Amino acid sequence: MIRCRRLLAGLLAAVLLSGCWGNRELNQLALVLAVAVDPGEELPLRATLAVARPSALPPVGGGGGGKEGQIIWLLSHEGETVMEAVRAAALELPRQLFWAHTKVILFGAELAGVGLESALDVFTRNREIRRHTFMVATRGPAAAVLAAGNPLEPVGPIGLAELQHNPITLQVRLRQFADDYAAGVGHPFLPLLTLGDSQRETAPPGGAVRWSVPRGEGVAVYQGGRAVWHLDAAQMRAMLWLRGEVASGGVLAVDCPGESGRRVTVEIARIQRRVTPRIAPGGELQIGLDLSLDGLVGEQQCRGRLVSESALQVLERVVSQDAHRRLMELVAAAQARRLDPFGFGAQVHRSFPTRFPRSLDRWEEAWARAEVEIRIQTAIPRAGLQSNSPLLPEEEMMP
Amino acid sequence: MAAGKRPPMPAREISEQPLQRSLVENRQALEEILGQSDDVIWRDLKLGQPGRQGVLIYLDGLVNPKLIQEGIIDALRSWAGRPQPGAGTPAADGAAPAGQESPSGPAELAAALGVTTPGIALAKTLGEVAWKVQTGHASLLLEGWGQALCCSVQGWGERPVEKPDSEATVRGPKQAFVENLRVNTALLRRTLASPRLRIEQHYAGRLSQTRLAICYLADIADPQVLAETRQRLAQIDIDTVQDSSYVEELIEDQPFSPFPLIKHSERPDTVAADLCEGRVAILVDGSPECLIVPGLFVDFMQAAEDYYERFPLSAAVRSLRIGLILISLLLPAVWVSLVTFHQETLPTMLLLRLAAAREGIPFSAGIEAILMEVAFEALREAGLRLPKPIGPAVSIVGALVIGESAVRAGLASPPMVVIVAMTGIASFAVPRYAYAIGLRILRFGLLVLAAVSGLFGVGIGLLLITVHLASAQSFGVAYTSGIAPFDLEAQQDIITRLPRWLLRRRPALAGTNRVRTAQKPLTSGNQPPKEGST
Repeated sequence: MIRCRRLLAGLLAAVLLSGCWGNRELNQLALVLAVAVDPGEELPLRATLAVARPSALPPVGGGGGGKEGQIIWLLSHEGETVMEAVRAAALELPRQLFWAHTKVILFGAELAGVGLESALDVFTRNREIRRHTFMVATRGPAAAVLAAGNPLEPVGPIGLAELQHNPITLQVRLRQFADDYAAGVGHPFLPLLTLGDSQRETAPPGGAVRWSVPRGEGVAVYQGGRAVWHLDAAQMRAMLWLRGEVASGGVLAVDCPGESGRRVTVEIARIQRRVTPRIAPGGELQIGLDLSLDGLVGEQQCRGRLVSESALQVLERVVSQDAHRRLMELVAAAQARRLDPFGFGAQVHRSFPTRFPRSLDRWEEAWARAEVEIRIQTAIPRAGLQSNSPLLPEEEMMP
Repeated sequence: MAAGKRPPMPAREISEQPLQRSLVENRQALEEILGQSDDVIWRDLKLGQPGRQGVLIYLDGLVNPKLIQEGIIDALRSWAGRPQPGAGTPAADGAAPAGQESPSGPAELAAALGVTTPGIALAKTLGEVAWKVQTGHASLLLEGWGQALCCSVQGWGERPVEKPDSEATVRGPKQAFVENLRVNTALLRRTLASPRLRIEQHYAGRLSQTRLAICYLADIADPQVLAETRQRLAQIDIDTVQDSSYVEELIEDQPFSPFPLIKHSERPDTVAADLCEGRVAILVDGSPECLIVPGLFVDFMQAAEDYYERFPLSAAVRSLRIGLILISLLLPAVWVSLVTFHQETLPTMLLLRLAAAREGIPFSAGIEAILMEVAFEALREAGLRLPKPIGPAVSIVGALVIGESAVRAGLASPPMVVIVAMTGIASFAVPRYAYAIGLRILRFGLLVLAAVSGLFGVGIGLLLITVHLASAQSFGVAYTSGIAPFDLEAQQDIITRLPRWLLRRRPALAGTNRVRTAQKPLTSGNQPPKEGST
């Protein structure tokens, strides 16, 4: 009986003393779906919170109708720090800020003047923000990108996050960015979004609606808290391959074997990469990079058939050469800038921890002088469903 | 019913006074015991040429008049017409020395009198006679006898054997127990025609004198469980037993447990299968529900249908049912925890929808869930108690009206209505009603814990339930046997049901005699040799 009472007392204490009383009803929460950090005008920082208004959500299957207004309420305030700016915003909010569903954190490019570190810390320290929150940099004010909607996604910030799921863009999550930042042997980077307004949707009674939507534009590489190198979309693709990160969907257009002016587009299905750092007898750092690409023919403008094994082998060689050229160009450009967003530094540090300690300065030095050798193996086992070239005369078609 | 050996009946209310030789005295004493009830028939008889007085006592309505007429009265009349049998027969032994009991047994007596009723017994005390009369016997008393001949001539109106009500199946036998103990034991015998099937009669209830029958398979039933059952039944002390549930409450191990620690079934086939697994059944006269001990936790998941459908469906349905049992217990509690404590675990879009649905609801999610659950239980209870034609109508109208208008009035959010409805449906999928009741009670407890401290509270609640289950015993057998203590072999019939030819051995409860089947499946390599092929 005494044991029973003790057990009961223990359990009661566990329930009552655990601090688990913090129940919050859903309608006491202000869900912050995204936050944009820009430099402020009067104070150093401006934080823009995208707070969800669930009551404005359009009902499913018609009937009734949500309240008027936007689904997202943007609150923008300035402060010495991000926390201060957020607190200023909280003064307007009747509900408690809830950060666990924050999908994207946007940093304006102009933040370079303030430095990224000062804005990053608040997000890595917050216990509600998920480590897998996407991080992006924006060309122009981040608040503008955040404010722009997307015609497909009813909730803008969710659309922004979905955009990051695109396999041909580099994904950077809070965890990875913070780790890269702290690693000290490499340079962190963020995907770059910009506001493009080239999209049109034709509305039935004539005229076109212009949509201003955020679009991926490449990568911003950071050095010392500042974005110092902008890679364009093609360079971003090469960077994906160097990092071995492409899931599927990347494409590579090369000249048709033996036919100049006509192109064949190969869709990259899979990439595997192996980095083997070596120290040559003379003491120079050599980085060997073995890449194996799996691809398939996505589109061809050539006259020749690409079904035979030999033709595909020729194509494989062409693809390897082309990819090699692109990658070497990117590596050379990076070495010239002493920037390593490819993760080679971490790899070298792991292989030779005493020779290359966690020192960014020393790594930048070594990286600039390193010899990089890239070997590419391409496999294109299939030509797709269509075996003939559309340009072939009918009589030459294979049965 | 064996006419000879009989366990002592509970005699507290019954006179132990022996019968006198004088019919008048006996009659006076019995009239005092039986009172002035109008349904007691005192049929005076005059037998033989000297005109010996006798009386036949029986209860109108409890006896078959045809049996009385043909088996007793006609027989006595023809006997009375015959010349008196020789000395030694008790009927002619009117001048036997006082204090000397008749040497003959009931069979000789009946033979001498020519009585042809199916069952006969001798009663020697007033109490016995009165009790026999109450249970539908006709008691014959003759002047000069010190005893009464009790003939079983029972015959009363009864419900015929019908389809099972609470354990219906699509496939499988469709007989259910009825109120008559004898019919029930016969149903059991019909499904288990083995001489191993033993039926032991006991009595409970000082006033009701209800017959109980312990049924078991000799050499298969667990002897400890059997001894425990006998002992607990012998300890019952109550005035009346109206149903097997009276007995259940008086003999179960933990009266406060939300889980039934004794299984019950109205299906003879289920009981027979349980007997084969080494369990012991208790049939109670007047109750169509048979008690089966020990009750085990795995009974939660097993429905009769599982054993009548083919393996693939049974296995799948069993797994589905386990999921539904968990839903029935946990869904509202987990939901309330997620919505009020762990919002970060829900997908964003779902959370936005939920937030939109909860916009303007005045109650917290916990209160809302408790209100809706109470409303649901109220509807269920109301539908259950109403007369059959009205019940479903009330349930449907109530559910529609209350659910719909609660949402329209802003008292409940549509997702909560969905959750409560799903929980309700899941609880109806629990194969045994008694278990579903236990789950319902626990569901409310968990809901309160969830509303107070989220998944943490739910975890503590589940911990307490687990501790209770793991420590519970039913008739000396661990309630969770098979799961804890773990028995690999028992897994064949817990989370899923293996094909019949893989259920080779009966559960460990069945002692040493456990072979269920040694047959191998008739796959292509294992066909029996065809006729004429060598």
